[in-house]
Amino acid sequence: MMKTVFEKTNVDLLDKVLSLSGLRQRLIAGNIANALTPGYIRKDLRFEQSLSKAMERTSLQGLMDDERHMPLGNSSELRTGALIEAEGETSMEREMAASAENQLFYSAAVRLIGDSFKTLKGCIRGRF
Amino acid sequence: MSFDRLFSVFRVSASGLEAQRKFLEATASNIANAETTETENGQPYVPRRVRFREIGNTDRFGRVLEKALSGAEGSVFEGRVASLSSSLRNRVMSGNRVQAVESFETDDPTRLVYEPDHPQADADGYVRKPNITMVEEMTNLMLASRAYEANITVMNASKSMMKKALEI
Repeated sequence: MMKTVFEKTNVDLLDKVLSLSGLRQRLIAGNIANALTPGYIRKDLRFEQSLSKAMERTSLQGLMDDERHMPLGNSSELRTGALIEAEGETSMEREMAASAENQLFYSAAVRLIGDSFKTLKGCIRGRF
Repeated sequence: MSFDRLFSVFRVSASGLEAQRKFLEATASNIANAETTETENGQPYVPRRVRFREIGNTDRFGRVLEKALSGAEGSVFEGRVASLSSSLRNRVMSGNRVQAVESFETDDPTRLVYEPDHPQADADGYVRKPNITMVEEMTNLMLASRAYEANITVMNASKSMMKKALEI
């Protein structure tokens, strides 16, 4: 019963978004720390695509009763993003922009999680 | 989730700060000693050089995946990697720290300047001075200070993210 209540919110998904965004921040920090390292391979993590896929809602849903099953229909599960590794010069501007973007994205996800909890709390109390 | 991993982003940025500070120190020392013709061993000052080295996993993802597929780390299910061991995952998905390695100029540490009045001038009137180009040193100075600022900015961004997470 408790599980279904939380399943109706986006908390699970947002939790994964936060951990991926935190991971991305680590990679960006590494890129900037190694800005002057010769031969450094810059790393980045993009998960916009898998996120939008995870947020797609379809009416048809495949039942998954084995972990080897492929998700069918709405799978609201965000597994991971694409790890990008690129040789060449690290562009400071690009990394700083990525850091700023990631920071905002993280704050937005935190806000959404907070709001989900607020909504639940409101429902429990019976007033908002 | 261990605390070690939770705060690793700060260690990455801190390593960047430390490396840039060393770079700045070496540059400051070179600029201060641009005209030093005599050190404790009687030789002219030898310019200090700093190079940066990445520490941590420098393997690319493909290489790590190969290791996992060979069954050494992580479990394999019908040729597909079912799961990477957590240590392996940490290695691939981590920002790498940086280290500044200091050395001394080896190519040509001195330049000859014609100054017959100088007490250390040789028979032809030439003095051996450290081979320091002011333009190069000033460029290094700018590089170091800008990179230092960038690391601080990222550190602040990470800090405000963590603070934000505490507001949930």
